[in-house]
Amino acid sequence: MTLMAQHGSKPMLRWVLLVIVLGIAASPALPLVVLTLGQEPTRSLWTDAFSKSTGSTLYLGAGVSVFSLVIGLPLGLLAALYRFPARRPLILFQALPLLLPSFLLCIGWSNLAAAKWLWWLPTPDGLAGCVFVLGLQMMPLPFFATWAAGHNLTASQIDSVRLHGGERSVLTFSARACAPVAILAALLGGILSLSDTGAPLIFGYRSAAVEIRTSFSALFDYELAGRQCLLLAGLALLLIAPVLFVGLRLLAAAVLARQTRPAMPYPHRALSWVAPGGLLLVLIVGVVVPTLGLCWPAAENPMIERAATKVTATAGTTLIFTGGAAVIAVLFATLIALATSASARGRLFVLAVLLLLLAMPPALAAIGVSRIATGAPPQLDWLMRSRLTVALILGLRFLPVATVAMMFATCGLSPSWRDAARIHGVSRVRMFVRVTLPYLSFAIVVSLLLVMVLAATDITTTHLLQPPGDQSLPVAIFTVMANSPEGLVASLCLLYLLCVVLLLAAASQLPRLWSRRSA
Amino acid sequence: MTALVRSRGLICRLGNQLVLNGTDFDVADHESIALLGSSGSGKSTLLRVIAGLETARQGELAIDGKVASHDGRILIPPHRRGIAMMFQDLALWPNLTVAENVRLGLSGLRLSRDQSQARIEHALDLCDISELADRRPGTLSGGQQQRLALARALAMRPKLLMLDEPLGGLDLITKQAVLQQIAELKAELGFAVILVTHDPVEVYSLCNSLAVLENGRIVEQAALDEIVANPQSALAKAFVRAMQCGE
Amino acid sequence: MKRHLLTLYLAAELIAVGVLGCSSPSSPSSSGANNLVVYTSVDEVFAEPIGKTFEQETGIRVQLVPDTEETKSTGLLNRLIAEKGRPRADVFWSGDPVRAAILKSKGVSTAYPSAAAEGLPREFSDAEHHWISFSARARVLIYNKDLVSENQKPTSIRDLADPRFKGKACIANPLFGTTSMHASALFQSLGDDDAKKFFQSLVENKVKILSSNGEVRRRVANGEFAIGLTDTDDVNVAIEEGKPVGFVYPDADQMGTLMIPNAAVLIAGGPNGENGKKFIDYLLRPETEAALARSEAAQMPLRSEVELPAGFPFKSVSQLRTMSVDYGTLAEKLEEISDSFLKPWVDENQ
Repeated sequence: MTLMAQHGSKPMLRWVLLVIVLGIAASPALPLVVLTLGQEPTRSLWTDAFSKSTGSTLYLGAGVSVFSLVIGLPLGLLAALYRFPARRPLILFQALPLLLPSFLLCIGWSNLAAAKWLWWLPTPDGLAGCVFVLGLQMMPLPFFATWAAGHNLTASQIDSVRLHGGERSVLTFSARACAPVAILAALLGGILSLSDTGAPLIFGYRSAAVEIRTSFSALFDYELAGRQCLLLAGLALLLIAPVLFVGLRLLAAAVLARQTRPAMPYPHRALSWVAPGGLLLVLIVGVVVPTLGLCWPAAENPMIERAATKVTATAGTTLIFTGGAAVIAVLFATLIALATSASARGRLFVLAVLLLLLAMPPALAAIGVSRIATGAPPQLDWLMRSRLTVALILGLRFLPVATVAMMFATCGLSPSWRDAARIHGVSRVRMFVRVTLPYLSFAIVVSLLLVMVLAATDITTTHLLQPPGDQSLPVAIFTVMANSPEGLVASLCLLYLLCVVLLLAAASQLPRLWSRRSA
Repeated sequence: MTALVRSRGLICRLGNQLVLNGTDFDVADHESIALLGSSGSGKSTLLRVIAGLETARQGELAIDGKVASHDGRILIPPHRRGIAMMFQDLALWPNLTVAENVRLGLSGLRLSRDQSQARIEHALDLCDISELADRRPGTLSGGQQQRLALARALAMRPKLLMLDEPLGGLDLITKQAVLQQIAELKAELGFAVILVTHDPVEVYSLCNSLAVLENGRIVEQAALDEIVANPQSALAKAFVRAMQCGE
Repeated sequence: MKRHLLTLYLAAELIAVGVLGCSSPSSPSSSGANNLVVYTSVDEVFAEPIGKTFEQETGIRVQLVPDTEETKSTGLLNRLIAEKGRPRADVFWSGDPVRAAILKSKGVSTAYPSAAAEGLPREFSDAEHHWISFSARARVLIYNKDLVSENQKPTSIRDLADPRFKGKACIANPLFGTTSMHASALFQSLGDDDAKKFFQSLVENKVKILSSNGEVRRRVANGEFAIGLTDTDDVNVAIEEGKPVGFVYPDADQMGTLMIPNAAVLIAGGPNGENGKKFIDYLLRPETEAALARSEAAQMPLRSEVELPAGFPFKSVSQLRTMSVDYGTLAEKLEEISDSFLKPWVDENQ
């Protein structure tokens, strides 16, 4: 079916494939819809508190999108266009903020703000605090989107602009070319932050996610929580639909099918210093400072050994959950991207559905799946009550992110490659394996890493679905931190960061591999 | 001479636009025909219909005397038509080496390993790119890329080679070298050529007849000498003027 | 070619990890003869050692699923309710009796009149044996010694509303966790009107609502707030870390201090019910109470005869004036006031 879609010869089949994949993607949310809409409501949905908090949430989402875009877009451009020292590691480590659950960052900040010698540091609080922390956390999405889009600009485009208008024109031109995909990524970040409860709870901001959590954990009213979720997701979609529509049309126009010679990073006297400076600054503010704040209290009492035992005990499970999620998400994302590669309308439709799903708080889907699994025969436990379940639900949750990445990558597939293959009688399978897949491989690996990272930090889903006896490292940190000595929590966080840094360092070798392959 | 390609009354729509409007177009064995037409006149679509990449909603296309497509139905798939094509953007597969590009291009013929190896070596040799066999398209110069596209096309041993403005970005010397090479290979291997172009130099170096496509119909088709002597359509007249200036 | 192989290897490895890892029988099946699945809302660091010693003594393999702080994630209680039809857990070891009572009301638990409960005071447990209480924490006032002098320290929860702590006091969100239980107990003990007045006085004194008891401990310890209301285990963590904090048993001379006992719940229809019963027997033994007293949680034994370890920071339950509460009806009361009072109160004042 992949190949049918890839060759674009049978639009009907493509739609069938799309509907199947989207159906699978939506399946975790289905129990929610069925269970909530089938019930007679016991509490009223549109209370004052909920309407107020819905408004706050939309501010929060918009704030996070704008803030992450304002930082991510310029930095992404600088990173893509200019040559500077330590370029690869600096770019790669921009992914770090995504790896830390937001509440850890918040605790780090508020610890710092409480330190006496940091009296001048404003305490992050309320909306501003949430936007600051979540915006910095989501910054990697627009950053990497811009960076990737900047990579796709051809040398001749950049050279001609540089000749005609100098550096300023280069920046405006590439900003305009990269903006659609960056905006889309920033929107994804904003939507992901809608369901975050860590930052709003700690900074005392009344978001709808907190309201939903209350319905769920204090009132035990799953149906109310479900209806609140649906309403929130619908509202979010309504608001982003216009942006999505315009953004996707621009996206289609911005991406050229034929890239013969990509632009090379350019050595510029000033900007080659501004770029690493900016990247470092964001890393310091977004990761290093809050981590210091988190670990500061532990400096006196490190418990590395105890933490290391925990890490080794949970590493395998963590890898299975996140790796499995990544494989599933990227597999489906590739299918979707190939199936919609010929149709802008198809892309729009798919993204709208996926974003709707992304706006749902993960707890609802997880509990819904749990309920369905309870009613299912034990023979289905391998699917509904296993490690596979965790990986599957996590993978489907982050499918939208992988899909955007893969859609972007498939835009680079030239239709004439397929035509040439047909004339030469290259079979679809062979064409897919020999040309399409290798061409997409870089994007696939990047998406795999991205989903792994996001899945690792989704504690709610993992915690609610993990089989007894399996625990992932972030969930372990989460359960430990409630009442453990701060030294243990901090040591665990440090080890987790260390693992992630090592993983990223290993991944940093991939581009070298690829550039050598294509050189 | 028998007709290698024979099309009658082809009608093809892309979206709302009527691109081919009852096109009748013949190409004889070993003929080398230039296809002229203003932008949007349907040249590329005609080539794609002949190749089997598109279907005409109505009309019939016969290749080598066999009906290849009829009223929207494809009866002979593209790779069984004995046709090779050089695309405007060359359509080289970017992640494969020069040799692998040719090898994958042969996969429809189901040759043995040795046979295809021999064909690859021969094709690369014919096009003077044997020493580039392990390079990837992205690292080749424009002329080398054209030669690779040509090698990939010729390795199929086609009866008809279709060229869709593939020589656009080349400098004059390289372009003439590539044209020269195609002409020699044509003489040696005996395939027919359809060349879509706007460039009199290309036509003059390679073709012995000329067809003019206007609004999806062939309005003029004859030997090159005849058309030069007595051009009918506006496009043919402009072409002849440009050709005379060039001389 | 080498590079190609590496790519292939990478892909293969990921797929292997992802797919095979998932579908292979992950952990040894949780319904085997010698297995036991325990969900617990008790902090993992305290629950795990108890599970380990049980494992050593009985040879039954314990799979512990610890909870996270419910304000930050959705929590095991929801999972237990969702899994009711075909439970995966055998025992729920609850950190407080309210959650145990909720499970009873939702029909998730089953009665188990354990013989090991002998010697435990009856008033803390369910009359129908759906949950049996043992070792307890207490709700206490924590204060920062750098900000509050010895003679200024609070003595009653009403001090949260005292002008000397205006804007410097904090509590955790009363919709969640032990704070919600405390709110319910206050409504039961003071009566609705007085309890509402008390909450109103908190508003007037600008008491800050934080996300959890752990946050209360952390932010009082680091000096952001002078006093706060939290649990003894939180206080003990701060003391052990050498933070400048002290604590007070509130209302020792009036309505008394609220105790929060642990509760052992047998899940109805769990996969290893017999092992579950054994584990509950184990939990209820005096030795477990002693072990929990020795742990970092410094839980207070309910049995007066259990000896307190040297340097135990808290009193034993029998030495305290405890708040007199009907633990069996706290959950019902909580459900009633959550909707009618607490939720609007939090909405208005957070």
